[in-house]
Amino acid sequence: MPDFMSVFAYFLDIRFVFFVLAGSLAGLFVGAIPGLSVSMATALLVSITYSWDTSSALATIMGVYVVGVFSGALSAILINIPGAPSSVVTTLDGFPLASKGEAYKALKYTTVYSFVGTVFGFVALWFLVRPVSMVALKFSPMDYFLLAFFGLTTVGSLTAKNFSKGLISALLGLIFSLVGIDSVVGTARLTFGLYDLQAGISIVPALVGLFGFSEILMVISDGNFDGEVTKIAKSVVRMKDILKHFAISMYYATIGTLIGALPGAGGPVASFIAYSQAKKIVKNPSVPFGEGAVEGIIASETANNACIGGALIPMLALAIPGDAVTAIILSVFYVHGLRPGPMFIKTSPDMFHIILAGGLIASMFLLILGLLVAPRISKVITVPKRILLPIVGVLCVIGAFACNNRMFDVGLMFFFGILGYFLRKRDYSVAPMTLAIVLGGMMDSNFRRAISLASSESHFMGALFGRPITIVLLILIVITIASNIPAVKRIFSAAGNR
Amino acid sequence: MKAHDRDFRELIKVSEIQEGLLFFLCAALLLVYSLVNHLGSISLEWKLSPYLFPLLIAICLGVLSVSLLAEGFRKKGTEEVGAKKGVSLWKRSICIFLFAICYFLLMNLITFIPATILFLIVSFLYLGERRLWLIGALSLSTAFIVYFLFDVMLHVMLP
Repeated sequence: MPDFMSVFAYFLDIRFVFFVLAGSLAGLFVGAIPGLSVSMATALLVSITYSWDTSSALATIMGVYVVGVFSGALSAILINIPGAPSSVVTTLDGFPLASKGEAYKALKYTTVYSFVGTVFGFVALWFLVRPVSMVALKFSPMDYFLLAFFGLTTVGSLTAKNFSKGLISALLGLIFSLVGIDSVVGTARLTFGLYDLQAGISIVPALVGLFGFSEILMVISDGNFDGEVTKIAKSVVRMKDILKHFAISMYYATIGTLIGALPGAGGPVASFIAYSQAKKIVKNPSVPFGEGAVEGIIASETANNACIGGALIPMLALAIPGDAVTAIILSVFYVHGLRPGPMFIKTSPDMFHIILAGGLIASMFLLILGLLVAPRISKVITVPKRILLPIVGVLCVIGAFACNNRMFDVGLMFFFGILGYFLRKRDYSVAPMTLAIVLGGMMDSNFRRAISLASSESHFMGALFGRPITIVLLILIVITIASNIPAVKRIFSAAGNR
Repeated sequence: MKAHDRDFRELIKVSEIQEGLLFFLCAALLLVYSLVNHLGSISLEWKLSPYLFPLLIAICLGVLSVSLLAEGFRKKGTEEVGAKKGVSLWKRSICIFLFAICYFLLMNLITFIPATILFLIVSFLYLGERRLWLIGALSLSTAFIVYFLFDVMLHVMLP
């Protein structure tokens, strides 16, 4: 394993470990406080780390990402409000267990299996990113376009209550991504004479607006400012009892990694599928599922943390993010002049090592912070939102301004904030829009390149769609779209009933 | 005639119909924009045109907005409309949004620290915090800590 030493060299780099720790601490609080999200924190960090060197920026962001996904479970267990969407399933058994006076036990299981899931995901990333990159080298421009399109349809179908709304959100994101000077012919598109729009819509203010500012407006309009915290009484939970579920957790981790690797799918889907599998597989849970079964917590937390490594596979090998946070991390790469894709591992192996090392060190901090700090965090979870939200508002303004030092970007952030607020109020998810904003430029240029190349061939359609990879992607897209059309759904459910 | 008017008013209240109409309008505008710009100012084939992708997006958006409209009509027929969940506090969100806009404008006039202190005081009070000592302490400390952390330590330029 030639990478082994390069990755573990970062474990001895005090500066690197410090940045991961700082990110992990930030992730612990941000993830645990409902109303603040990992996506929001990562989006803010992109602007703050803009002037940093790449390794420090990535170390901090990996800390926030790994520990933030885990700590979403803390509020799910203690106040029945998931700190992150991927912890929704954890509330089903976590809160009932905490209500029985066993919050400490729930936290300990959550910590250990989040750690297991995270490490599994990063090991999978380590081993799978090269083979996936090799396959990606065979991709044509049309394949890239279709893969991104598949990602948008998947995320549209999974994150919105209504498939049309999910796709509309993605299309709006694509429109925003086209604003500015066209990269192929150099014509200004959709700028409406505004000089500031010629360089395009900066990703950072758009993300800070969609995830940060709109979240503030959502929390305020929901009026859910405070929650009641379950008391944590320390009890003896033997590691031997916790680890007896280790074998089955590998199955949940595999589910999480594979679902994370699907462009567009993410933690919430992974934890839901793993939980349904647990209900089928575990015949004799400690208590029935939904009443505080540790088996439910294990399934949900292992899968959603394993998603992290999984989501990084398509991001690094194909430049197609697996979820909203990896879409933001992809923008960090662009901000620092890096270009993920099939050649990334060969051209920038050091960056790959940084991500692996950052993730693995963050998983160790997850274990330490989860066992030592998490049980004492209950006071922080209930910081009144009336105090917290205006401060986050100030951070959003700084975050939007800092990326280009332009007040125009602050205005853009407000625009995306209010747009995100209204979209979310009307059940449109902002995740497809985020992915589309990040992927739109790539989709546009690859689509036109594919059309151009195919038009010089004698069989236009054959050249465009005749390759095996293209056919597989087309089939996947057709299945995704067809399975979300209500009439098709009805036919399948009728056939199933028969 | 009155029945027709009533029907129309009921129809327009369905959120899917409102959204469908809005997105259909967006799709139509984008379609016109792409066609006018391609045919009017660009001497390129469609395969290289920067307006090809916007044109496709406009068509897809048009189709999806029609599907939203269809869903709205279906909902209207089955009377699934109007089930508002919980009490909406959207006016509070809009007020905070307006405070933020004022903060943005004030920053240009009185610089970052005073504008931040003012924004925080007004927001804390508006969101229901009544302990004046806490409001004062938090507003001052946040503005100065943020300034020190970002400007001095992290070298992030502030507005």
